[in-house]
Amino acid sequence: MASDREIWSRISRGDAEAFDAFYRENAPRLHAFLRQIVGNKPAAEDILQDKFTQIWNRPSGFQPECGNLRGYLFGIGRKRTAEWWRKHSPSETESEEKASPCHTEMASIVGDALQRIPEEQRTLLWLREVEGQSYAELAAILDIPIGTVRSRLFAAREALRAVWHSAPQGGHHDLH
Amino acid sequence: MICIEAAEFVSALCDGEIIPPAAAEHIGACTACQALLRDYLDLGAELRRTASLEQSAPVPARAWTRPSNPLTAFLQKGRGTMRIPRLAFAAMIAGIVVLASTLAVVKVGARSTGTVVLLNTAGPDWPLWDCPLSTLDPNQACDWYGKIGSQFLAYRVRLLSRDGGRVRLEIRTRIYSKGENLSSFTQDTDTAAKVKEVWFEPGQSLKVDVPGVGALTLTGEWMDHMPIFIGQQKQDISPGPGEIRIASPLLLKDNTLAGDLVGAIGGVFSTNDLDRSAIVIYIPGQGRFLIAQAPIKGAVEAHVAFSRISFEEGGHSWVFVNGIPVSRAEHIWVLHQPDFKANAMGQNGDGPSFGNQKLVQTASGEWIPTDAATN
Repeated sequence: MASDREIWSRISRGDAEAFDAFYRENAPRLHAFLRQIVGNKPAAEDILQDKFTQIWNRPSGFQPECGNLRGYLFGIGRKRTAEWWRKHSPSETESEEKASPCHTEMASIVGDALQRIPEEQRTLLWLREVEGQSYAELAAILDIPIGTVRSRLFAAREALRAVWHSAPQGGHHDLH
Repeated sequence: MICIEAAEFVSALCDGEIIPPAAAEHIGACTACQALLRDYLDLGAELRRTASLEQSAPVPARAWTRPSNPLTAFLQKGRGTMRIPRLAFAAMIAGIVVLASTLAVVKVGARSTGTVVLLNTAGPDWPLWDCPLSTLDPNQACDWYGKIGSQFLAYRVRLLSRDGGRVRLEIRTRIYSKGENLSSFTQDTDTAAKVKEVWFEPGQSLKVDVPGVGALTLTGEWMDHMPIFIGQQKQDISPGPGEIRIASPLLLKDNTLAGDLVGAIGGVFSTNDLDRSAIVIYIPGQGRFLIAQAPIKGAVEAHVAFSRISFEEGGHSWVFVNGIPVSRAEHIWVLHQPDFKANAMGQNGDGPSFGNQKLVQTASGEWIPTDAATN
């Protein structure tokens, strides 16, 4: 299996086959992440295609010594979602998502709960629990000190747990 | 230790972290903390299950081809450090006007990876207008007001969403009388406006019936950039792919004029690893700025909006106010070297100067200017 450095080198040289393999492997994961973060399927698709097109046309910025290729990909995806959030109000996003016929596709309780916590906590939890990014990689992606990652992950888990338990099922375990 | 103190370490356990002995001891003996641990683990598993469902949805297959650059020959001539003498200014102006007027409008086919739809609308008798809409900005709209036949028509198109090679458009029309107040036309509350949503595939045509006016015909094409049209012939003056253009820029530092390079004009192309170069601007008292599409080592990311380059660096906000559109890219890189000595560029340092410099990639993959590589 090729290393990230080899894959990036091939992409930088314009190897379409290598880039297509990279796209097919990572696009579904990045799309799922973007959709969770922006809460809007068309916007997630636009960001996804825009980012891959940008990487293909101008492969730059990945530094193997600073993290893995998937972390780099999610990092730039996350930056683009931050720009997207600056341009869109939460209320606008809610109305778009309610109107979307695709909303029922991810009708899991935890998926709904995830939409009700702040965007940064959502990002952090998804990258840790689903993508398995390490504390160091999370610090790089989110541009925060590594020492802050643990406390923010804890806060995010608590926020999600509180929303989760506010749903009809399950009991709440109070701390004492 | 009490539960509240141990809770963060419960979370850390889920991440495979080693925790302090006191926390480990408390969690081992505390049923509430153990229940919290199970909650966190269950949440993680449930998130991964949700992700597994999400990732089963296919993403569209794509063909990957890089746009070729017909202006590479020009690049070969422009490579290397150079200054633009003021005497050559008039000639350069003429050159860039010719360059702008001959730039092809890059259309990328109906099933392309473009993000902009160039929408053309024709009335029953003649074309109304061409208007580009980006799939990345739902706040854009194309508006047209005018007379068709005996009727006055207000017409607005918004791009709502994209699904592969087609887009969903909102088309809003209203017949109005001469002198009528149209301030409410773009609002959802305007009951006189007729609103419909249609799917439109660039490359094909679509008829939209407007009572009292007849059929409007929509055609369109995908483009790989937002064109900047001027003149009756709709010349696209946006820079070429991978190009950065500079003309008579002003530099603002914290909204105050910090440099004026009247007469400086030129550009660089950064289309691939072999041909990367940076614009170099030197301003006495402010240092040297290298502007490139490659992430130069130590550079900050700058936002490009039409003819402006904005960035934050060294605790200051900086804006290059350029005389022409800068780049198709929304972001480029700026390396600021405040302590750069002008003599290093072979200049006397009395006034601002302008040129370009090739970038080279180090063994570790970082882009640096050639003068840094040879020092």
